[in-house]
Amino acid sequence: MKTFEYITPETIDEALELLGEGAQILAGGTDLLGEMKRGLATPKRLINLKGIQGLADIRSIPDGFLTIGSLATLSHLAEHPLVAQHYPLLIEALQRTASPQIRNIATVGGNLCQRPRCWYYRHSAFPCIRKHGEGCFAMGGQDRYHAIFGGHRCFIVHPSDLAPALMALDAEVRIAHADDSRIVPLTDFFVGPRDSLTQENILTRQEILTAIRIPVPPDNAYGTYLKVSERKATDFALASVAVSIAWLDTQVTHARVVLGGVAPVPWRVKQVEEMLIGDELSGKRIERACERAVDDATPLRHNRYKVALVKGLLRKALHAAHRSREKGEK
Amino acid sequence: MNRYGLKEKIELRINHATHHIEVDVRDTLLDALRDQLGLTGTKRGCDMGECGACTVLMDGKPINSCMLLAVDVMGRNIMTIEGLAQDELHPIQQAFVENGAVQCGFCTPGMILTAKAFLDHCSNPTDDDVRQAISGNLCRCTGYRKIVEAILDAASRLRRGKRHV
Amino acid sequence: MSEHWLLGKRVPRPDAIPKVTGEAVYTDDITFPGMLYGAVVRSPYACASIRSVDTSRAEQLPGVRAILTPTNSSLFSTEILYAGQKVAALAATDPHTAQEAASLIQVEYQRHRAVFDPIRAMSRDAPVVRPSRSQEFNNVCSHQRKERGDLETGFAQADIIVENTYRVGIAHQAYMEPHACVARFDVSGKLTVWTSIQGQFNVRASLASMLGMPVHDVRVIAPEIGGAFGGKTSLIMEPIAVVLAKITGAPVKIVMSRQEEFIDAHPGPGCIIHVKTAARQDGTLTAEWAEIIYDTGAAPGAPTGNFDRTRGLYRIPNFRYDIYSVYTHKLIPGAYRAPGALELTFAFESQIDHLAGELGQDPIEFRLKNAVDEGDLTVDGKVYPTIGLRESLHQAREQIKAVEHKPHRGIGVACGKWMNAIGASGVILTLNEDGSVNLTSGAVDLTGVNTVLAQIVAEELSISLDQIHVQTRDTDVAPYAALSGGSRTTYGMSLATQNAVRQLKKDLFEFASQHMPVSPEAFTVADGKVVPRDGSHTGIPIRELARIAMYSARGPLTVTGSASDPSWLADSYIFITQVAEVEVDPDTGEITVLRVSSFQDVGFALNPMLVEGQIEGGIVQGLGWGYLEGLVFDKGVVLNENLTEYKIPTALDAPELVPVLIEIPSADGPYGIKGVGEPSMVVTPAVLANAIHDATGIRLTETPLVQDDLSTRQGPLGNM
Repeated sequence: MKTFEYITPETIDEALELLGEGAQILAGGTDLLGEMKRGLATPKRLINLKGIQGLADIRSIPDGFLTIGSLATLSHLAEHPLVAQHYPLLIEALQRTASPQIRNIATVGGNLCQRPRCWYYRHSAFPCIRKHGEGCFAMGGQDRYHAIFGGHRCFIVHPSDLAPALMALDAEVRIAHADDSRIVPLTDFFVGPRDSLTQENILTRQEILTAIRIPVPPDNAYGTYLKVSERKATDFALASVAVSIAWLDTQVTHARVVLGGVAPVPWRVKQVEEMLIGDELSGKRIERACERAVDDATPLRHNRYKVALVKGLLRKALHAAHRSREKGEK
Repeated sequence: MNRYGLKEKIELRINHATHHIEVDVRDTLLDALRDQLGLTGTKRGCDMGECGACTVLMDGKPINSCMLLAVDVMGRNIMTIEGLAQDELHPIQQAFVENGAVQCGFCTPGMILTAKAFLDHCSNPTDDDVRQAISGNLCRCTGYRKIVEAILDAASRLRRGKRHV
Repeated sequence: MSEHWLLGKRVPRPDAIPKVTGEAVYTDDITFPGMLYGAVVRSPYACASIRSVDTSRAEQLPGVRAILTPTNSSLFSTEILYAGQKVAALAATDPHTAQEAASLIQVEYQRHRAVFDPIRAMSRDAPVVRPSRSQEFNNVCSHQRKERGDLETGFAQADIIVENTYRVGIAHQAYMEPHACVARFDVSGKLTVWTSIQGQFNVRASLASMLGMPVHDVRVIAPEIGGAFGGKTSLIMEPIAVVLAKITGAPVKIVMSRQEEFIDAHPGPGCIIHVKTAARQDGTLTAEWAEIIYDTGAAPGAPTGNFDRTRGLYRIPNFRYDIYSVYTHKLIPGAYRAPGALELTFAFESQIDHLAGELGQDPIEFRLKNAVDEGDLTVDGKVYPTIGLRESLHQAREQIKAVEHKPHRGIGVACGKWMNAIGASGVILTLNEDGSVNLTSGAVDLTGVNTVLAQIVAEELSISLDQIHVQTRDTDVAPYAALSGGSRTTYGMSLATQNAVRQLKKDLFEFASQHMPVSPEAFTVADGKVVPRDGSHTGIPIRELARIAMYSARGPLTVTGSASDPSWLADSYIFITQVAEVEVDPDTGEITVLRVSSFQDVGFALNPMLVEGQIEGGIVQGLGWGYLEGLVFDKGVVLNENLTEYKIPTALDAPELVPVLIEIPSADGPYGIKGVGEPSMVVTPAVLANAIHDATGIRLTETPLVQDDLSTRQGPLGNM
């Protein structure tokens, strides 16, 4: 690891001033330190945000949003009473994230900003395009963990469990900049390889992600996060699905379906959401939704199984939603 | 706001004692514990936050000491395996010994500290609760059965102990 | 067994106490003032020649003390045969500097065409890794043939023939403690090496020969070892540490990173097994043919010598097995817990299951029909003594009967065999003046051997266990001991201890007869005393005799005990049947292993708690190799070189484990014991594959048994 200057600002403004060429933000550090140990990240300056008051707070605010400071740890979020009350889907996602030890350090902001886990990207022997190198080694190589959607010259998958879950809850992120701050829907936060081959989100070098806001879910909403991984713990998703559904009587009035582990960004399948709204969740409709979800899948040589996984997971999630509504009726 | 260069003097609170040590800004908490303080009960199994052998408790919660910079834990309360046993073995340690939960012993300190933090909050766990709690501590020797049994046994020892107090 | 008062009891390991407090000292816990830290530069290419090594930038880094390259050290070659091969090494004042210096060394490579697949490597136009031992094929490292009867006749007699190709991936032992060593020369030139190793005397011999030094000038100390499983049997970093220590005059420590473990240790080998098995309609096996191709990587290392040790479970009158090991441009495999057994068992026991299925026969009845018995021949033609194969199958059958059948679940069964070694074993027993006993051993304690040696001494002398102090000491102090491996340690060391303690009793009885009017042969021990069997005297406490002897003409009571076997393997046949219950998710194909029951003939369990521990750990390692683990390569480079992507089971992946101990005493083992360290993992991948087949109808033939196939080939399983 190359040495660096380590700074602990006490306010966001101080932190923003410290940003610049060679500077990197340290939050939980569970991803960044790994990248530094591997020589993938070589910051000259490390700006630790932990000293900034309030940045780790989780609050419900009068306008109906839950606001999560970007420095809140994953375990803090998972244990928060408001989360248990309104967003059980988040708890399902958090329980499947990394390990208990990592969840006690890793932050919500860091989780959304984590770098790809692609083994070519992480490996020193492969100078891939995401490291300003020469191409994608997964193409024609060992691609079983790679993207079946949205790949383009690069086939990473977004590794987060939390991101699809937050996206299914219509979360927004607050981004601080020296001049002004902005609030962006999480859907617009992530950046695929068509837009950038070197970064995975819209943050510029002058910006800091400070908070995540989640609206109160609609009435009668049901949410679930399902994940398949090879190991039952401390493993990234081969595929995952976050679903949030609401009803009026038997009619679906609101639907969010977001896939994880299958695309360079958390993959929202709007065409499925649209076809679910306005109708009952019948078995037939669920089957059609599953087919529809993988309509535009373009699997690589060894990851066709992910197509089947997405269908299987979505089927399970929608059936669970349907059962929960029926239970609610009784 | 503090700025730190290559070598820094820092203050760490470990096992209820305050230590002043000089660290390289690149040193992790694990490096500081092992190399500066001689607390070698905390083990280095992967140095990437993947195996749990370096688990210590920070403000009562298990963390991977290899994934935190030493300069980043000032002001936090750290407990290592050396701080667990007082005059005699802690009931969790006793249960590990008696249930055959220790083979090579390399995962043991981290496993025990994870169990300690877990049992502090959950006094009557199920087999599955225990497995969830230790899912970030890899063991290659035991197949986990005797570790899970030891933690369940420790839980019941701790419950009995509480009743007597 | 009722004739023992302490053997067969669940005695906790005394070494567990320093391990739970963090006081136990492992190699990386050892430091010296002025100690330097080593780091290694490795080739990113699988096949290349080194054109130049530029160390100038590294030399300028403050704190760098020595750099070894192919130019100045014979430890390094300019010819690269696998990615990860060591190219250069250095020593520096701290680990950060050492790592940074390593990254500053510039190596220029000339790359060559490489070959990675062993079958491809055998073709005549494949690049040559090393000269072939075969006229017919390239890159053959070894070939042996086992045959009996007439293959054509055997196949002609058959009603059904099943033919499959199985592939077993390269699996890493993934001990939790990475390799570590410290080397230090003292002023007189004597070398001391602390190292994480299964056998300290092997290290002493290798280093002495490398340095041209007599063995007594090399002292090897094995501190506590954080797991090994066969992966810590040979030198890895020690020679580099030694040379760096010699050049710099300072102690040098080298600890392998987890990444280095995955790219340059000696994992279990990859293997391809093409097999044809034949039977009559009534279920009688008639013939078997197999071609077994081990991937031995860049140098000999694949365990091809254990065929008879692990096969020969069924009466097959006609067979031919060709066993090859083949060079490729990959890392060099080595021993992993019952080397060679798991991959063969996976293939052959899948075959048996497949054949039983084709014949519509119950897999246990089919195995029972063909199982070998006392008097039958092993593959190599030795005669089986009393064995436990049928007993383990019978117990497995009872277990299966009790399992409730549910949708999407499957039950699998498979059998395995292993034989333990003995190995050179020596101990020193000293009776202390207070009647306590010191036992000095040179064997590294992996499995709790020191605990059972204490049990043996206490049992034989009828004194309490806390009076026995067993210690593993280093090569300067302890008698020779072969490395702890091959399931030999408890077997060989118990034999030596039994010999020693019986000699000690003899000496005690002789000395006691000077103090009691009884001839030495008429004594026995009871309650810590030497007493005449006929009760003619109340006896004298052993501690009293120990004290008197020390200050009499007799002198201290100290004895040695030894054991070995020129044929290496004991006459100890370990059979095992496992039953696995799995659930396969109907929507996703996700595999959940619910329970694995293991019925293993252990001869006699000296300490059932420790024996269970070995079996439980072995099963979960076997599961890991079976469905989670395997190195993934691209151009010979290991991609999953960390414990996130190389996935060993977590507590949530480990199923319910039911270790059942069958005790059919071995003929020549002490107290009838058999080796237990290795056999349990042998069967697990096979039993898992058979259970998955039972649940889904799909036979997976490649490890790891990934669910890709299950999710894609099955589609929705709702109708199953």
